[in-house]
Amino acid sequence: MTADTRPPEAIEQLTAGLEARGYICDREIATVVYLARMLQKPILVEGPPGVGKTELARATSAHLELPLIRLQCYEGLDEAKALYEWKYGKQLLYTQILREKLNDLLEGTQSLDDAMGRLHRFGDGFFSEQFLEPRPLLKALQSEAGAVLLVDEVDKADHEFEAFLLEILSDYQISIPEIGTVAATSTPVVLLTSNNTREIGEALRRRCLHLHIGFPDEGRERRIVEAQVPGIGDSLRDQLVAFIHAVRELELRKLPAVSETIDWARTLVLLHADSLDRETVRQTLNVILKHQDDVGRVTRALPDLLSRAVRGY
Amino acid sequence: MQATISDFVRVLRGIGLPISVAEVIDAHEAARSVGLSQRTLLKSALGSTLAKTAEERELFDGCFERFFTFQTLQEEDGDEAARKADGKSPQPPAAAGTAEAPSAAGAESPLARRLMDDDWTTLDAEIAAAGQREGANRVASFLQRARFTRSIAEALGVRDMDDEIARLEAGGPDQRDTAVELERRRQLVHERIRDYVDRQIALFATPMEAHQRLERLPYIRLSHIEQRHYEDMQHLVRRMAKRLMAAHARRAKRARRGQLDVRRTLRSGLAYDGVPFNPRWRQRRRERPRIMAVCDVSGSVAATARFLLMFLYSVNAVLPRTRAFAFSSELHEVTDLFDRHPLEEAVATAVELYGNQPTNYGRALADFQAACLDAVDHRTTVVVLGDARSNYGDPGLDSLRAVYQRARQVIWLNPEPRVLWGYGDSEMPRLATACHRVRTCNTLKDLERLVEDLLRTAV
Repeated sequence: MTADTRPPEAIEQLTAGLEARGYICDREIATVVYLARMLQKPILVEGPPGVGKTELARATSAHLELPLIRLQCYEGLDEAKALYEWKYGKQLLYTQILREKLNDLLEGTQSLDDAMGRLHRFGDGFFSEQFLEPRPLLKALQSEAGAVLLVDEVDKADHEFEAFLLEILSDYQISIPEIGTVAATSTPVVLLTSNNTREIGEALRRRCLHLHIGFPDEGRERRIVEAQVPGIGDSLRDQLVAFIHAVRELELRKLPAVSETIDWARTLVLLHADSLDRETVRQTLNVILKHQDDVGRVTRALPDLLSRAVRGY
Repeated sequence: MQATISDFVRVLRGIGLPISVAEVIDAHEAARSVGLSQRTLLKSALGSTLAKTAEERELFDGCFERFFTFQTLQEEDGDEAARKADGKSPQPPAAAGTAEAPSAAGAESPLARRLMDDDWTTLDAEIAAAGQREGANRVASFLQRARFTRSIAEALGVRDMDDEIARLEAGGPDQRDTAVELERRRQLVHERIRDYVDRQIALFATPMEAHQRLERLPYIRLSHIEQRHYEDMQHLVRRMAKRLMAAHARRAKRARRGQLDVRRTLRSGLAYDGVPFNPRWRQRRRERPRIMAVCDVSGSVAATARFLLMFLYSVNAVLPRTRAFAFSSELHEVTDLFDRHPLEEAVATAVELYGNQPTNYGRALADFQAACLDAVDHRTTVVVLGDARSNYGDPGLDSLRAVYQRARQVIWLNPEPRVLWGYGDSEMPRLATACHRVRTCNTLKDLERLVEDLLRTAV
């Protein structure tokens, strides 16, 4: 993607590029990714689990040929794990090794003040970059060529961490008290994903482009299955996708997402099925449904669903 | 384009999307970098910068469809605008035929000339321009329709044309024909203008009015709210409950961290020779109150009861041990209605089953005492909702006092305004002596405040 291509073509290219990496996306997704690069803004990706939020980051990084740096959020995540840490062990080891050197250095000093004064001449050797352990956020900023930074499931992290992200997301810089401010060498592409277990704060939303990925339509899902499960036959693929779409219309505790569709397709290919029949479906329902209630409900509706899926094809 | 996006943002804000200036700037940049040539691209670009939740996105999508069909018409190159304008033109095909017959003899004012030339494209553009000048995009209500129609007509020079028609009518037969034709076309112009104003109203005023109604609902007395707004109300209750829960879930978390509890640390250290091996933290004990809601569901109070129950069960995640009772004379526990049925249905059933009887506070409170006094303890908050009008019967003061002495607090909610308490058969002043707090409660806002108080004492 070059700067001088016109936007519609650039977005076409991006779509094709992502597709080459096995990620079939619609125009909306491609447009937002394109905009994120143009406006240098992070993307907040929301949607039900398993629709390929994380996968989007992976495909983007592969397409742009930038390293993917991933930060998985969880409750209790703090700066030390997200940003940087001092290599405490190394610092300790070095002071031990250098003890004799230090003794030599301090030889002949009379008072404590004197000794301190002499030490001061050597700068803060132990608090320099060599002793800094960069964590994902710092790594993304330091990366020379740029990077794709994925902050996964940001809704799992605490409010405090969310507030702390703000500085990085708006200015692409962070301050380390002992060293100073570290600014990004080249702006990383940032994706944040959220499953909406908790409302994300307004401030964070305001700084991001918002992208909602829902369940794909049948056409796109067929292409996704084709891209992800190469060995699958056409008729099985079409029936399977139609079946999944019929299941999504039921009221279930957890609807099967794209990842479940792919798993199921793989399972059926392994079982050498070439079309859906009642027995196979019944035995493999647990691949797409994760609650016993749901399995029960779908089993009851099975004849209807199957006939719709097969007739639809 | 800049003006169009600004107008669009105003519409979005009007229907309740909180859009900041920074986001508007982003939207402009996004629109510039994708260009305007493709509508879907523009939609994605504006959508991702202006709408920040799935809910907002839904509102945005609807708005975008409405706004950019009308608006872009004026923006796009003249060709297309002309074609579309022709397609929609209300003028009958016969008009083209008759247009030839009377020569434009005597038609002098610019408007009259345009009309006789059938130059609807220019006219449409002029209507739009006049509308802009008159501020038609700031129309706030359909009541302003006549006003805008008139002022746009005047801006186009209808008055000059009227003078002209009068003059022509006084002239020769040829001129009189022109006058009749002009008069007919004058009607068409009016229709055109009214169409334009209606579109502006559909774009700007209607969604805003709907939103404003939603904003006002919490302040309207619950007993005055009409049945058809119940769905909106349920939506509002859910939204308020969600906000309250988010706020209080957070506080609960913070209360989990604590200071060092020296005594417990030393005690646990005894096993290790007094070395304080396991630091223990002092924790504030979280006491979730148990709520018992006792609701009068007879006619006058039913609406308030309905929303109180709805509210209490919407915050179920934070207040899980709520029990609900409904009475008009006998008291019935309705807790398991709520366990078995969806919220709206349960509320409606409770009101239907136990309402429609004369209120008897003495009976109901005595029932409550008999059935639940043992379950009331120092953690229980009893919320009684009723107008305390006992039909001159026993108000049940003794029963309430027995509850008052055991409960953590008794809150009485009265939907009547305070000035009416104590008049007629209202027993509120006497019953108030057996309550920790008495408050009026007749709007959704009051309910929200109550639930917020309950939650605050919860953590």
